[in-house]
Amino acid sequence: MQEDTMLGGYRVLDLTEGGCAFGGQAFGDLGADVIKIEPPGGRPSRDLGPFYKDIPDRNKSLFWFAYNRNKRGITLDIENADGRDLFKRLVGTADLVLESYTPGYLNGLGLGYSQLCEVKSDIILTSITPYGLEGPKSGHKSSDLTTWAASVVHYICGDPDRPPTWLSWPCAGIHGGVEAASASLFALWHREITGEGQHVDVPIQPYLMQHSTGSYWWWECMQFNLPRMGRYTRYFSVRYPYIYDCKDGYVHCQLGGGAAAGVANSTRRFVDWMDEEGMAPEWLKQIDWFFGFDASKMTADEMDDILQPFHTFLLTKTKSEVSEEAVRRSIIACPVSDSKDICSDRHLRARGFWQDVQHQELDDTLTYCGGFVRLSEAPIGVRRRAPLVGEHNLEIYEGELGLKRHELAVLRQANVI
Amino acid sequence: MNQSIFSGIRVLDMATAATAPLALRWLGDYGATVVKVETHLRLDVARMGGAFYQGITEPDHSGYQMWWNASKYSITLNLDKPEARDLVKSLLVEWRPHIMAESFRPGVMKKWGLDYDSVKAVRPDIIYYSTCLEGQSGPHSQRLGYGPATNNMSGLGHLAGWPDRAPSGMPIAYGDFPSTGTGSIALVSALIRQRRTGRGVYIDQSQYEANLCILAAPLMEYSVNGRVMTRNGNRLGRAAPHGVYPCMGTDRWVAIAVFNDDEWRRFCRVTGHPEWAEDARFATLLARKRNEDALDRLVAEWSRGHTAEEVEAMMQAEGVAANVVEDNRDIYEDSQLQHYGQFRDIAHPVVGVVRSQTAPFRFSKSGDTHFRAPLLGEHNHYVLSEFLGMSDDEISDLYAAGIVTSEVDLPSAGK
Repeated sequence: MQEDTMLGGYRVLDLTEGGCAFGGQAFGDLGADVIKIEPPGGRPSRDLGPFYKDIPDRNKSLFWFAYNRNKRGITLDIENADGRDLFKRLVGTADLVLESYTPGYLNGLGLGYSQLCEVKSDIILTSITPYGLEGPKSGHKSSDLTTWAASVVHYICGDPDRPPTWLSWPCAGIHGGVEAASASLFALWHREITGEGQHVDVPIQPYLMQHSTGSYWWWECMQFNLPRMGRYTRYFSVRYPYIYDCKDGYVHCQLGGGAAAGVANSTRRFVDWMDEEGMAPEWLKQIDWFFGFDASKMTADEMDDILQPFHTFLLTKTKSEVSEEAVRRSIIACPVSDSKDICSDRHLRARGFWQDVQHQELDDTLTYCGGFVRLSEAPIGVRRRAPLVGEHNLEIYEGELGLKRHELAVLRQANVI
Repeated sequence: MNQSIFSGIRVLDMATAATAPLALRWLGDYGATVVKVETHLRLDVARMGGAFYQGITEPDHSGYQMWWNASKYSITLNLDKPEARDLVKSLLVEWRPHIMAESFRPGVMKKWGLDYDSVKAVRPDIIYYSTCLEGQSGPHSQRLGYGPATNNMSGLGHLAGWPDRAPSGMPIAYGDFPSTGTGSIALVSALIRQRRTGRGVYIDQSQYEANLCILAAPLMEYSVNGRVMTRNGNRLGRAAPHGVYPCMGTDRWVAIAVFNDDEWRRFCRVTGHPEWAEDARFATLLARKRNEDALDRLVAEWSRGHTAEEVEAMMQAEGVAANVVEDNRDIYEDSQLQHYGQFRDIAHPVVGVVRSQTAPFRFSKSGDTHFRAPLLGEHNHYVLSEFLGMSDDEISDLYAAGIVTSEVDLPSAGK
């Protein structure tokens, strides 16, 4: 019996680069048959580090592993006439093509949306680009950093006395992959109902903008250019930290009150915790965090004075202590975790989040993230590791398209596959 | 344009804040009927957590509301009353939504008799979407927090900022939005399966785990190589210059990324300093990486003499990746976003005109059905009469009994 998955039976051709690969992987996670198509020798994103045991090798990129699981992989030069023919034959078997080339590249090869429709009339083509397929900036040269810059999130991220910062590694493309999977599913639903395919235009800029939590709405509503505030946030004229020093690193706490009832209750419980350890001054215990706390009427110094006992207290606690007590006492706080903290988090282990995947080619077992959601039926699973360069050429070209071995040899020698 | 994508699809949105509501809003933008259940008694963060039109902190003036809850209908129920919960059950059985969503602390829906098992008993085909900080199970499932907590527990906060300083943390609720995108993926996949098999599903989304899936590569760098990735300002191992440089004006910046020697020579021509390309300190990528601090100082000295817009245009003319670090005002002037009609002026009965933000993606054959966000409880009468067939008298009784809410009752909200 076929395994019960969300998207079993659909086929996706994935021609994306870099983090955009997340889109095809989401389909693979949900059970679709995803075929990664790479130029002979492999996609450039195989050269993205980090690498397994620091060995720079096209079959050892952890970046590649992380966003290309649950896919099969073939090599194919779509710039070559034989390659284009083979690609079209594959399109004839597919529901969706995902790509992240420069706008117009596929058109130039005779593989644009209308040409693909000639092969398969209801095909869905989804194009991920930094700015979109059309418009004055569609042809702009870009990188993950400049896409980040176009999306406001850069401007509001970082310390106020230094330049804006990014997230320290290229992840704009990954967000584009998420957006592409979502929009492609909209089109797939439309095709289910109407039988009609279409071309889906997925610009990363307006999607990534949202991750600023719509900071530009402050301009729209109040003509206020919300600045970056580093580890602080602000409420009217006062600022208060979101990140506090603790005994072995940093923790996040949301302290205060007033209209935010949840925060007021949390802060009261935080003071109770400090009091149990003899670290809550009498005046702090007297504050009514709901009715008697109004940050809009405070000076910055008054706010700093109120928060000082919290700073002092947190310096006596570890990340892990704050994390556990926050849950136990319903306090809005958590560790500022790095990847080591996350990999040892007992909560994730208890949820069975991590998935061990065998890499026979490395004679090793690697630990992967689980699903982006947990489903009561048709679960997400890591069914296969990311493909090696051309790993499924024989399976697909011979097994599915019926090419003869000697033909494959010709194509290999001509560097088509 | 033919029929909208999700016409005929019905969605019951009992979630708050951004994550699930924005994912459901996109369905509404493309034709689904989305009913949001709210209350005057505990205002949604969407209505009290952000920027307010004219600075008026009232629930119908909130900018976040305009954004997260456009293309929806709003009804207001006091779910502490069993009769209000019965109305939700009536909607489930009589109006028959395909999807139901909630984002309460795990356990709240069970207390109300509206958890998945209870709903499944009357609607076995329902797609039930729960989203919260750390998921429905596990020792920390009861953790409280908003977007900043998600940012920081997921490792995003740690990665933002400078290596010589404490983490800057990610702004506001960045970490909410990967769950919006992945939630949308799960929902539409479930719709497709529901249509093919008649089966529903329970979607348990931990916003923490959704972020970790985005951060899968840095996590493998630790789990495989034992190395903790940390913040680096704006640098990238395989490019230089790769950074944000100051420009004329106050707090104006441009981002530039140069990956290879060819781009580097073009960059030098643009700056009017072809001699930099010959300088042994910068001639090759490896040399530029070794001398990156000195390089960044040189670039900054040059960029200060130009506006950010000039630098972007000059670099682009030579095929070097550059973009103004767009601030909250630039976005509305951005020619590309204007070309796509990303923001759309829509009349609003309380604040006048809203520059409403449309969905980020576009379809060649399917137009959108985007409309402005509802006022609090704007569609009480419409939903109760049209979807549940109630009479005016019955609806009046619900108001009188406080089952349908109509008054904000928080001491400090709206003041």
